[in-house]
Order: sequence, then structure tokens, then C-alpha cells
Amino acid sequence: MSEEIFKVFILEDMPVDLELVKRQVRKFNPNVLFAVARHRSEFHDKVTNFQPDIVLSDYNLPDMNGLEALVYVREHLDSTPFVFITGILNDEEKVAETILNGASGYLLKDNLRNLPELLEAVVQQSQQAMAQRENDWERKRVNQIKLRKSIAMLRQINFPGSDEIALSLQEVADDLG
Amino acid sequence: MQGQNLKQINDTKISELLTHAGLSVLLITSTWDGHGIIMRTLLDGLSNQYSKVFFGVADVEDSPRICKVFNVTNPPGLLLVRDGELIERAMGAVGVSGIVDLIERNS
Repeated sequence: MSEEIFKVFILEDMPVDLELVKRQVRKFNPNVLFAVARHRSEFHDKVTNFQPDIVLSDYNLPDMNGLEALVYVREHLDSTPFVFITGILNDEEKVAETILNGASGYLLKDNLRNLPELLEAVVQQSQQAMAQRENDWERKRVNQIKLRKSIAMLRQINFPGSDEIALSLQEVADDLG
Repeated sequence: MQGQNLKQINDTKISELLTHAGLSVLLITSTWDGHGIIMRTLLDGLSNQYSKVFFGVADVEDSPRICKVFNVTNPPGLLLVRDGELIERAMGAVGVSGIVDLIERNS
């Protein structure tokens, strides 16, 4: 198993189910960092900042459904794999709908023991996209560090206009995030 | 100066942080990060008060893997992890009362 940390975002409001899902994910990869949301606002607050390798989502949540979560992920996290883990996704129409909307797969909670196998397949399928995201992220990190170091150095020296330049660069750095 | 309870973390030690039972507080900063330098001093003091909490500090330039895992490109970043779950993520300057509040809320 890879030593890379596997980042998993779980959208689940039932504590018992959450722990069961975590346990199965650890069987796939023990080097894991989780982030969890239990409702809509927590999901919106956390998921894009977390930049997960995969999202595992229940279908029925207190104030949203899984399809809304899937659409949000597709809008904000591009091709990040998204898997439904649910107790009710058991009619063919709904299954077809999830796939057509861009889910990477689905699993019934009764079959949770099959999650490691499903994760293996999904990760395998999305390796190229994950590598691309990693490269993009590393380029962003290197550029941010160069910018921040330049701002710090600029603040150490004084010449006419240096404060304004530092302030402008700071705004650019903040805007890049 | 760094107290005994604030540990320097790098990419090779990230698994220790994720498998630590209980609450961990990680600061990602750098020598040129003014706010982070102050926060590091604050954490050093707090690490002596909260003996059950693991306190770590990582350098943004030396630890690309840690930065990737916690999605931090722009230090300082303060991360709270409990039993392998990221429970709080605060970017930018946080004062001592803010840090204490985060720890107390999640202890």
C-alpha cells in the first residue's frame, strides 16, 4: 500500500455508520486523513478547503440529498471521485440518475464490507486526474512560497514606495489563496 | 527557543500525527512568516498547559507533503486533528484566546 496519505471526505449524519465507513476505509489504506460533514453548511464550509482524494456520501441527509452534494463537488472540485454509500439507493432509476450525474460508484450500507474493493477500483480509474491535481497543487504551493518570501524580504528593506509594493503583492497572494 | 512539548514535525512523521489517539494541534509556518513566529511562541506556552494534547510545528518549505495533506500554501495554518480526522482548520493569524478556544472546544 502506498505511503501517501489518502484524504477522504465523508458526508454522513449517523455516528454509527460514520465509524463503520471509517473502519472500512482504513482497511483499504491505513494512512488516511478524514474530514466529516453532517449537514449542508458544514459540507460547504469544509469540502473545498479539504481538497479530498475522494468523497463518500450518504444519500439522505437532514437538509440536503446526495445528488445536491454531487453537483456541488462537480462544480467546485472538478473530477474528484464521488461515491454514494447509502441504505436506500435501491431502485434502478435512482442508480442510473447517480451515474448520469457523474458519481464514480455507489454502495449499499448492507454491503459496506465491499468498500475497500470499490475504493481500489475508483482510485485506479482516477489516478491520472489525481496526479494532475497534485502537480497543479505543487506549482501553486511553490509560487505562493516565492511570493510570500518576497513580501517578507520587501518588508525588511525601506525605499520609497516599498510599503505600497508589499501591500499590492500581499493582496495578490491573498487572492491566490 | 522551543519547549519540550512542542515537537518539530516533517514529512516523515506525518503518520504519527494521523494515528495519534486524541487531539493534535499542528502549526504550519516558516522563518519568514511573522504571524506564524508569534503563534509558535504561543503554542510553546500552551503545550505546557495541555499535557494530553500533541503539539507540533512544521515548516512550509521543508514539508511539502504535510502542506499538501492539509492544503496549506499560505502560512500560518493551524490544524486540529483528532483520531485521524481533521476537525478544525484556521488559516491566518490566531491569537492565544482563539487557540485556547479551539482546543477547549475540541478536547
